[in-house]
Amino acid sequence: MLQCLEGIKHLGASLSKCCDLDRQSTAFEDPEILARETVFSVSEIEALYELFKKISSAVVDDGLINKEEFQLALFKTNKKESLFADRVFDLFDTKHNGILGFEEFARALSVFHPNAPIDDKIEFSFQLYDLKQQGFIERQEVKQMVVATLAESGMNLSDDVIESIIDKTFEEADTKHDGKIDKEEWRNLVLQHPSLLKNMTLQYLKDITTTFPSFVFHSRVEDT
Amino acid sequence: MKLTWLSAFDIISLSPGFDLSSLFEKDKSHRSDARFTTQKSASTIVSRLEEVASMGSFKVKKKDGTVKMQGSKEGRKGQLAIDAEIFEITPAFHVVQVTKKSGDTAEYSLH
Repeated sequence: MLQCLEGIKHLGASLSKCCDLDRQSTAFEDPEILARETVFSVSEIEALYELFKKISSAVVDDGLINKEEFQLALFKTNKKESLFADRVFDLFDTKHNGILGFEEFARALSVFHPNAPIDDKIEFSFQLYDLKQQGFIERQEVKQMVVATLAESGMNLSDDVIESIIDKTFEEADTKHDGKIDKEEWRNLVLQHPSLLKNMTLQYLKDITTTFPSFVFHSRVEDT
Repeated sequence: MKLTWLSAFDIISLSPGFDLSSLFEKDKSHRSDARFTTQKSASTIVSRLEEVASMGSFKVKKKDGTVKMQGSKEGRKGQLAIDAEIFEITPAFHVVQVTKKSGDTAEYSLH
């Protein structure tokens, strides 16, 4: 009997949730679907949406994030061009139309959640570094990224030093000795050096419901 | 002191363009970590850190390339603990990553 009442209460709660969404006119598909297909909970999706709205309205208020708004959110200035920010943006932009909709934003950020599977993080980081998207990371690509990073941070290292750092790195990573790092070699490298994936996890995503409170309350208080 | 050697990918991961955490930070000054580069030798860096630590009455412990500093005064959120990890890119080029381990962020920023 008690279980029956609980069931009805839950059903009632779900129905009202449904109605709230209709009234709210969301510009994206049902958060429940996104929650199912990512590691985020429904309330986290809603909090993420608050962040998305903030970023996407910075330059053009059209509910989409363009490259400039992305740079602004990342560097707090739209004057900064970055090889890496471009790469990240392109990977987020799975529809390849130069703008990020909320779905693309949420699905990409899901990979950065502390609870996301490590395989997803390994895959994403591999694609990030595979600048020419050829399915392997070439020595030339690594050099380009190292030089870009050093320039960005105002660090100056001689070409010899850079070459020797890359030599050492490839010695360890390129176990097939073909001058390239393929997916398998990348995977082995990061499993041995987990700190290489540290940028692939954003602890902030765990607290997102408190950092970006959404004004629609969907959490049900469980009666004990 | 034995330091962590950085590979090319470690260097690349230092790039701010790859660090999406700034999407969530409203204010850079509230970051609980900071990174800077220096061309001083490792032993100079350590001595300098020890100097700063003694000025702020911190206890210092050195372990595996990290200088751990623990405040002895009770702050608003307990004792302030700061880690300074030193990475070697070349013997004349180091990256120091400073992270607040516990305590109040405002007190940490002062130091």
